[in-house]
Amino acid sequence: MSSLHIEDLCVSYGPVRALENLTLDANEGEITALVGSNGAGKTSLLGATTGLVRSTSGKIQLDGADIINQAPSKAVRVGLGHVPEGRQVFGDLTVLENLHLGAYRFRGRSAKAADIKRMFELFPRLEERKSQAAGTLSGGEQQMVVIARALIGRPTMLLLDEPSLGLAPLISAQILESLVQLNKSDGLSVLMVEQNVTAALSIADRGYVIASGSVVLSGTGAELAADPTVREHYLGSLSAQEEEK
Amino acid sequence: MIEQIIIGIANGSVYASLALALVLIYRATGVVNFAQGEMATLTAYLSYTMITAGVPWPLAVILALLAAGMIGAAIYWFLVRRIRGRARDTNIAILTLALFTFLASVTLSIWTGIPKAFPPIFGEGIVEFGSVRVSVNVIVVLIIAFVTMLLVTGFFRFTKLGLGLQGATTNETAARIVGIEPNRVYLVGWILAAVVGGISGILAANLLLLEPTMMLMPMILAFAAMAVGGLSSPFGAVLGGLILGLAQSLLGTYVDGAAALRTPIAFLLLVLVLLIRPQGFFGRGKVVRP
Repeated sequence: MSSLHIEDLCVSYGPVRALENLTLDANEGEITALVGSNGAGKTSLLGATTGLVRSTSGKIQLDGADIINQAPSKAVRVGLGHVPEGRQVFGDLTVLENLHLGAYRFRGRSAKAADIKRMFELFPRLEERKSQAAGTLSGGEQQMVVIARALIGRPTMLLLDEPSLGLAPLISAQILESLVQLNKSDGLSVLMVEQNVTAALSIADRGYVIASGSVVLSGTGAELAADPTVREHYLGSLSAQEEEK
Repeated sequence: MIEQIIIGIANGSVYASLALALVLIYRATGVVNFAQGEMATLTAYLSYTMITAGVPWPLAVILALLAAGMIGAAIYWFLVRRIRGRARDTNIAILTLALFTFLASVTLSIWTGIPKAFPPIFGEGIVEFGSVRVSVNVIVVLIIAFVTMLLVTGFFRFTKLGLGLQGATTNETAARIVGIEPNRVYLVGWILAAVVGGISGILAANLLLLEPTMMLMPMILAFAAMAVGGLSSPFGAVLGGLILGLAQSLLGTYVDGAAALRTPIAFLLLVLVLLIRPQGFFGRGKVVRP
């Protein structure tokens, strides 16, 4: 269980400003959802938090301790888990080796047998495929590998970047379901970017709408889901699609 | 016949251990290191100089291998690390070509081109198995090459650093978010490669004469061994090296007029293997799901 506090965070790529004085809180034991169009800065925010992306200025605190611009290896050690966009598996390595690498921050080469077993209970598909090279799995299975790998590092705050992008609806529902389960059973704090806004807000305790690198709206998941601006901009196209069907 | 087989395997074990070093670098940086052979030659010369100066040979070998490890570390830290990520892999490979010529001329200017006999550190004994006579030297070379292969394979299979190194080369972003520091594991890879390559240099000096160009042909054959084995497989590299060494030795002895052609014929084998199995015997190929 952890809380993440981000204040006036700025990130630039050369002359391009990705984040501009962004402030948000992901509270202990809560699921926090980030909503916004492509290029709004959601991925940069998660990258800056783990230290994959350099921040220009601002504050990032995990449980009150400053972690801005630390090496990712340090961020992992203080309890951050990151599921980045694009299914970043170790493609040449087996599923089991991928999971073992999730425990890299701990002593010893391998993850604890109990942790692996728990992941196989959470994602039974992975057990069937444990000796297969992760690069040969389907997109949904790869996403399960990445989430399980992050969880084996026993994070107190899990960052997820579009965990369900490109996945079949059934599998993405299953993945979101397992996140809720972990949040309830372990009190795992979650900060997630999710393109399926309806689904994200329905499980989120708190949500932030990000546009052009700043927070433009925030509230509880239910408040945002009911907000007319959110409905128009981020749910509008979805409901239009639903009506067509 | 059996003598020829044993000599072939001994030469092959030099190619094999050099190929092991190449595999280590390939896994640590994703490039082939053209300077590996020259680094090995330098290591052999360093141990030669210390032994002839009166340093007991085990100590001289250990010191030379330590020096090799430091050279490997320096090459990674001050050169490769700085351009990696900003340059294409080919540029790094070309950088190692520059190192190849640099190290070759360093060796030549310090020790001259006159061939030197390496001190017989493994003794000059001969073992007889029935009618077959084999020098102790060759047997020791074989054992060392075999043990080196086991250690490298064990490093990848059973150590945390070995797994971390494979992870970092497979996907650097994924490696960073699980807490691997790529530069640290790559550095370890380069140090290990320099030491393993150094061992192959010392083995080669024991079988042949010590001269600045002694690793040129082994280097080319080590590349071949690496390709036959599948580029990233330590076991494959060793098997490839042994096959090439055997092929060379047997072709040179038992096929009329083939002595001069034995190396090209060994390469013909390589071409055949690659035609049948382009990823090599133990290559995982590219596993990318469309």
